Amino acid sequence: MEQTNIMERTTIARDKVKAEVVNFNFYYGNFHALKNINMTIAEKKVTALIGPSGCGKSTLLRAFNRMHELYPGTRHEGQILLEGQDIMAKDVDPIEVRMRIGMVFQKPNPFPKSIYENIAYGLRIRGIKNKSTLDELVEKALRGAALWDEVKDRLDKPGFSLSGGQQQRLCIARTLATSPEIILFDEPTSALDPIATNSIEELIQELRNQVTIIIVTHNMQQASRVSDYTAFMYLGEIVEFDKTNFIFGSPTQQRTKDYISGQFG
Amino acid sequence: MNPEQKTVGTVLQGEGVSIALEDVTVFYGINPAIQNVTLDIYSNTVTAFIGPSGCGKTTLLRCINRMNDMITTTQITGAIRVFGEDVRKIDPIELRRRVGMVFQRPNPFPTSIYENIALGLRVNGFRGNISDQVEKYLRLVGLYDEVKDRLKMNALQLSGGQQQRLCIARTLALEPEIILMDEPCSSLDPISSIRIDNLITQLKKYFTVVIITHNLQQAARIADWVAFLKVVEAEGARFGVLGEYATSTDFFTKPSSIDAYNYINTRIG
Amino acid sequence: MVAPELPELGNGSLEKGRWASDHRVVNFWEGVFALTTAILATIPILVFLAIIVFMVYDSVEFFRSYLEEGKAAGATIWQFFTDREWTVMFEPPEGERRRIGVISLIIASSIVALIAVAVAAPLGVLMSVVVTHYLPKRLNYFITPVLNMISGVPTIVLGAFAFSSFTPALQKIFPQIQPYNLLVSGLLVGLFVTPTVLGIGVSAINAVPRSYFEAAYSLGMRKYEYILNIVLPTVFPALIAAFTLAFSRAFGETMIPVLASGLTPQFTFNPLQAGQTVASFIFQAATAAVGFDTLEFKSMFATGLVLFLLTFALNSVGNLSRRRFAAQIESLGVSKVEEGTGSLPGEETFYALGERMTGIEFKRNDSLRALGGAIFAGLSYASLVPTFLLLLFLTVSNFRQGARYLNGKFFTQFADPDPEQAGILAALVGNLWLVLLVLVILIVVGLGAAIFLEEYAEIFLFKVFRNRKVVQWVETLLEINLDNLSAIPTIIYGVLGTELFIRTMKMGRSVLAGTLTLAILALPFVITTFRASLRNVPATLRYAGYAVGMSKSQVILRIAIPYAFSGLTSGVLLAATVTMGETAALGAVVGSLGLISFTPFNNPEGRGPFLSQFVTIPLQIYIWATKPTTEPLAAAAIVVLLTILLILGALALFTANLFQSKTYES
Repeated sequence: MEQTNIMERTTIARDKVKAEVVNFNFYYGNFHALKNINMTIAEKKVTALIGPSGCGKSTLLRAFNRMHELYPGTRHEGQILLEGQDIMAKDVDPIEVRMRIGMVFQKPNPFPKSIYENIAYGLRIRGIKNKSTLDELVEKALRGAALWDEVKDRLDKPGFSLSGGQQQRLCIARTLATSPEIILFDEPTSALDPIATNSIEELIQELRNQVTIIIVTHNMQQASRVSDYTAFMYLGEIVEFDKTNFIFGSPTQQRTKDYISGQFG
Repeated sequence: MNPEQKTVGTVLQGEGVSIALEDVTVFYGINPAIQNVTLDIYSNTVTAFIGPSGCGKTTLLRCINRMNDMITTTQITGAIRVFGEDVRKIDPIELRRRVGMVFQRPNPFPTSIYENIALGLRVNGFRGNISDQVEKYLRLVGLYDEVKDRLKMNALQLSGGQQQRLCIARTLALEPEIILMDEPCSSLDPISSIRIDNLITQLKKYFTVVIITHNLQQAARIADWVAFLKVVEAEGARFGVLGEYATSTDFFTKPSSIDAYNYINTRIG
Repeated sequence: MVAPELPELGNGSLEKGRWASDHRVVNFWEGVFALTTAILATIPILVFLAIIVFMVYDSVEFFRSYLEEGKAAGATIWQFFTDREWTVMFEPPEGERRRIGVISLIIASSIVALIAVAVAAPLGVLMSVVVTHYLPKRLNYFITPVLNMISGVPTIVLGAFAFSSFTPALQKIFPQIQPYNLLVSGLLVGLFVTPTVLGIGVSAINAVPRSYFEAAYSLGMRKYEYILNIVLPTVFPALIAAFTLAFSRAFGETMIPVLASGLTPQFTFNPLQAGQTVASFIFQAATAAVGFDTLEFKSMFATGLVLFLLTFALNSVGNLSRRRFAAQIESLGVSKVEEGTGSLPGEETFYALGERMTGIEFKRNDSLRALGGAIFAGLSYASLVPTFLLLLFLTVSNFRQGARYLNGKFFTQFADPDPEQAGILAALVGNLWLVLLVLVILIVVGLGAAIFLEEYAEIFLFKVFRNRKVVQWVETLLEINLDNLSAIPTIIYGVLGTELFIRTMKMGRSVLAGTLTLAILALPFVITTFRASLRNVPATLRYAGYAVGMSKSQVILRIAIPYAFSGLTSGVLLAATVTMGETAALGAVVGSLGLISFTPFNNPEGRGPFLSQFVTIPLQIYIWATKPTTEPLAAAAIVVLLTILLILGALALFTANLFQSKTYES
């Protein structure tokens, strides 16, 4: 069909390619969840994945740091290249992949530990044991997530003592501290109220230009506000992938049009 | 989509009032869940309850067939009348046959497809022919042709959409006067959910339907009346109140309150 | 899409005659059903009260007799706590008194229990880790039941193994170990109570929110780092509760110390020496040929009360903290998200990340981390070894020892002084008959009580107290009481059965007394498992039942019980394994063990199958195992008993998973 058309328009012209998904297929048992996905992720840009429930957007996101391997019964074909290296290959340690690609989840999930420890964990396993270096990096990460001023006097309080939005920013700080090359956001604001959502969105906009971001969202306004590129997925396929303003301004596919105008989903 | 069904708002009201809520307040323990709701739901219409989470839509719906009886701490003040009778004076078992309910997730009994419908008929002492009744209502929900050769199959083997239609058939087979639906499509795929929408718009010929939905497109497609519930905070408590009650057309085209306006605009992107 | 053609329907309201159900009749049966279950639910409460009343009453009697007998020698009640020796079983010389220093028994029990926890704690925790995080699911399906099997092995079998094989083997290495000693008891009781730690450990670890696991892995943690840094600290309170419960269970374990540590009370802190524990003394007193009015007989109530109070206190602490943990972890899983409380970050808080967060030098040492992972995995797998070895050894050695007797004759002949002529017919028939009767009682009473507690208690209590807090408090109290009752040392039930059924109700040392004793012993456990099965029925399914106009009892009988059927059946089968292998409690009921060469169906006195004397396989094993000439017979009987238990266990496992493919996704 319009395969060529899509391919033409999705070629990222000026932006540097950080990662590339090549002929990627994914199965849960017998269920073919992702069908021949091809897409590029631009470096230091925000790429949004949108589509109705069950379209495979979360599955695709989770493939980037091989989270799916933690659950039995999944299988994949094809490649995901991170700066040219296939991170899905058998001889690549998934832990190595996760060291390079961080993730923020739908619901804030701080560890049942102090605010400080929540961030320090990721640093310790990366070999930073020195207390003053840890202190410094924890502060930087909290500042980076715009949380420092709110928590600097209570770093030893449990992460759960924070409000939902603050918890989510703590999780972002935890990820930032490990200076990942890509951060995956899996519907990061779906459990938050509008004000907290707003603060997370602002943060994501701050982070663009600093780090590569892939975000899954149900909220189409959010996708149009925060992302540079948008992929619309349906039934395990990428229907359309383009610059965000094209997807929302002049989609080429009827299904994309229907979805963003609220006809289904 | 079916153009013939674009009758939203044209049926303003049926012959009379099916359900009358008079100053209904529901408490869970000492916390109010919803306060001072007064509204009349008209016969042979589809009325949608919409509103943000925590506004008490489900609580209100479950008061109508006394499903909240199961939670010991619930206290209800005000009056709920079904066809003029106070629900507290009707035996809950009788009430629940006359006011059927369909739930958010399909919840067929883990028995055969046939038994799913027959069980309800038997416990209510149905006098007619059970197999005829089962067939009639499976046909009504458009499931009969799909399952007629495997009525003895466990209902859990059906797809989600089929399960939900079976649950609707199970409810309708008891010949209720009112059907309460609590987000019946929220766990279904778009195709199944459109099928169920179509079914609902046809059902109002015989039944009064009250439906909760988070999907405003769905509300606009199928509802004649919309009751918008909003959350208010007072004295440290958060509870729901009736924000607006209007015909579907009026509600979606010219909402009279800012809360409703905001709600519609954040929901429809 | 075109909607299906809607057929013509009659309006229900116009045809009321089509529905014949009469609500007055329905509501009448509703009341009868609820009342019946309520009556059945009072039974465990009565059992609890009976334990306390009898224990206290007879303890007072014990002290009265003691003071009377030792008046001349200056006997006081305080000597119970201040004496160092325990010589209750010996008639004192003229002008002397018996020594009643219960402390020497308590010390022996504590030594056994401490050693046991030292074994069970590390093994149990590592096992939980292996089961939850290392073994593939499919393998787990077999491994967990095998690991749990060790606590299903009748303790009489473990005791026999300790005395005849384990201690001699240890003596070859450490000659200073006595033939009877506390150490060996402690080690074996430790393995025996490991499943307590395993069970609580696994359920606690499984309750750790999935979100932690995702968060940890997405940060690049290795499995062992995640387990050590996140999982174990999170479940720490539950583990402490598990250790407490394991300690309590070890403290009251009866048959292993009876056989492995001897029956001579000593005031000693040396685990290499012999010693008598509280429970093993009770067993000795209960099976001694003494009259009901003797001081010796009454002494078992005084010691029983001590054992009851100590284990009850430990169990309460353990069960309470276990609950607190469960409530806590549930709230951890749900992030506290309040709408409208998120604050907007101030302008100055944003920093340009580019220069600040990049360029950090990480000094990762990945090979060291990989090594750590391998060592941790190795240790965890190693925790499975002792249990497996013990089970293997028990099977092989008993089979080899008893093989000579394992033929048709063994099953068709009665016990006989001549080993060559001996068989287990009386024990086998007696055992199966008893278990059958017990199961009938358990199903009726257990299911009724479980239904009331799970389905009606809350509403009932609310009607009585009208206060949610009080209701929750009473419910928690009831549940903890049930948990405690199922963790009380079984010998206590034996003592209670002796007093209640034999002495007070004058049933004699009969099948009936044995059945009722075993029934009250297993009842708390059965009620708890039945309740768990009923609780697993999805609420949405119950609502579906109510929504089609079912009454409460109809929802219970037509929806909940069929749905929970496999869980209920597996609970019944587990209860069968427990009662089949029970030794201590029945030993107390049977009293002085003699030669029984008849089945309950053809007893010489013609008392009928309910009032006949009886013997069971575990008791027969006890009789045989304590005499060197009949030890091979004991081994043969152990093989028979283990085979039966294995079959029952496998059936329980099978039924538990029978309907799993049809489980409800909610």
